[in-house]
Amino acid sequence: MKKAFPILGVVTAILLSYALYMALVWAPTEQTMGDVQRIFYYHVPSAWTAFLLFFVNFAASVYYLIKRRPTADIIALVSAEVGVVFCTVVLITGPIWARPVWGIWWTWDMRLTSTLVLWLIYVSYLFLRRFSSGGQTPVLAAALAVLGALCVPFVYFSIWFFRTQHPQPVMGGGGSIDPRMLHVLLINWLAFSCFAFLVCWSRYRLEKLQRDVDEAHALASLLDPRGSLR
Amino acid sequence: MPWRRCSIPAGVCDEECPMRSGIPYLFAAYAVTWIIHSVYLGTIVSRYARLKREIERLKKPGVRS
Repeated sequence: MKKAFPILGVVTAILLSYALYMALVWAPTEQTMGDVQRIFYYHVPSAWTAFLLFFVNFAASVYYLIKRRPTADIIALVSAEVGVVFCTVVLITGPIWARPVWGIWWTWDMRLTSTLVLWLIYVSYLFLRRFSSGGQTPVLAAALAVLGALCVPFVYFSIWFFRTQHPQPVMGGGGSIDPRMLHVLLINWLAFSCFAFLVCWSRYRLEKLQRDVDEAHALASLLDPRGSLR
Repeated sequence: MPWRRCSIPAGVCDEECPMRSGIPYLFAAYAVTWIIHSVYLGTIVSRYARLKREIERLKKPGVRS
């Protein structure tokens, strides 16, 4: 497993470079928006990756609620954290794209507002994990994660059910896309998914190490004659 | 490349370069994406280094937390 990490790192770096080249050079220029439309190749794959990570968080949380396995708890925490990072990218690149195209940075329409609410739910999940020290914290966090996951399909399908300024979905929606653009989009998604997996793996190892150190500290304080638990 | 196509003086190629002013936004979006990911990776690396030092300290004989 230790050898696989650098190999995957190199593969991901190559994929990300290739995806960047495809997005900036190979992909055709969109007729009405021009080159600013190329933000699409970072904005949409980041959103899909965030949704995927929130789904992993949901699955791991449900598994933890049923089996109470610490590994599932770590996977839930890690996927939520990395998912929030990708969702932050979506919330920042979206307005940067909107400004030259719509003429405004932000509008309180259903897609944008629900994405912001989704981000706030998972940020509150991370705050709960960070600042609550009770034994029930993982259970409470898992319950919050299950509720948060219900928001993900709402965000995705909000542009179907509500009148919104946001474009129609690329997959399964009313919008159409040039096959070359779709090709570049999928390459970028693959690259970002590999990158997300790599980051999750690093974060998982860090969390395991952190828990081992916390355990060692607890053990040391029990053995220490000057400690409070004599 | 988008930045090369728009190197012609302003007003000359407005039809060839739709949304000329969009280029800074494009680069801002790409730069912000990688800044966010780099900052997050930086926090992971620094936390990992701190934990490694902590483990080394715990391994030393006679050290209690």
